Amino acid sequence: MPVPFEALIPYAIIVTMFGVTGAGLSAIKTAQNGGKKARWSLDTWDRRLTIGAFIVMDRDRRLTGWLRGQTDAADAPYGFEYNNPWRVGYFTGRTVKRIIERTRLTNDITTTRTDDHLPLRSTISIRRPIIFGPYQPCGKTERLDTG
Amino acid sequence: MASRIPQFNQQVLYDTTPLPDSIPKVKELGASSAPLMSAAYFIGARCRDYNDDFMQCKNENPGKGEFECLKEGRRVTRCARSVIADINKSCLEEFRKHWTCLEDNNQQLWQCRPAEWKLNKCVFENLGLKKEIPDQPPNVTPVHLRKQMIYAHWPIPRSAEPFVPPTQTGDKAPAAASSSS
Repeated sequence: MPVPFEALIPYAIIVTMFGVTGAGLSAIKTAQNGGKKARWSLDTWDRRLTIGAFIVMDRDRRLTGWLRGQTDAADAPYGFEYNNPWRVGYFTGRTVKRIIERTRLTNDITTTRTDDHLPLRSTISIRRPIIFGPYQPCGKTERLDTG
Repeated sequence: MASRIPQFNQQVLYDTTPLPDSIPKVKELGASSAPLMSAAYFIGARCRDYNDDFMQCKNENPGKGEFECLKEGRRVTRCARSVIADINKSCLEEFRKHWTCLEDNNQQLWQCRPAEWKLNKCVFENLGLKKEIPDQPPNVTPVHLRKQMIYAHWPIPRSAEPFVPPTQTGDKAPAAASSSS
């Protein structure tokens, strides 16, 4: 008895669509990773100082400009030592507090850079969670009352 | 989205609070994650003492390790930098093949054993550094010298031979120094 293949065509379409989905996802992931296979099963070491967003391999991004870039140079390029945004926790509130950025720590004194020399900008109250960076000795956040 | 030319701001980014001059300056290591993973055991072979010193210093100074351990940290950076520079000088091709393979495989060492064996051979012959996994049980082949990796996606071709460095007493094992194809 001949097989009623017309009845099975919808199933073939369904199965083909699974394949199309898988191929499309794989192509998108490859394109997102610059031609490389996507990284999976990333742990904290691999993420390495993600601040809020899902940024993986932050150090790789700082060294090469994109997330999956790799270099095997022995020396870092010149801007590398200064392009680490090391964020201090800051609080939301009605008065906007200026973010004080720490770029370097001297021996036992924490020096902070304040924005005194910059003109005051208009205030916007921002709601963001407290972001903790790596080890932070006690610092000051300055409260500025802007009219 | 993919590889744009990285733009390092050398005028906009400057250090407003530089370290005092009494602290020596050290160039940061420029290798990213895959080359570091590939060279990790060689860095460990050469820099074990400095790394142990640094970790001990950090353990003994909880909370203020960044201040107290600057000197040990400089030593670690300099030593790792020297290993990478030496590997680049002598074994660049094998090194690049290995870390390219790692980068394609989620940085899993067991997927890239043939390239790793070639790199180990080259590094041992030129630099004298051996890859050694500590605390392996004594009666079993170390995991990086086995010919079958049970979790790898592809089986290892039969023509690839693991590189076993010659033992200390000077007698070479029969499999040592066999050239892999």
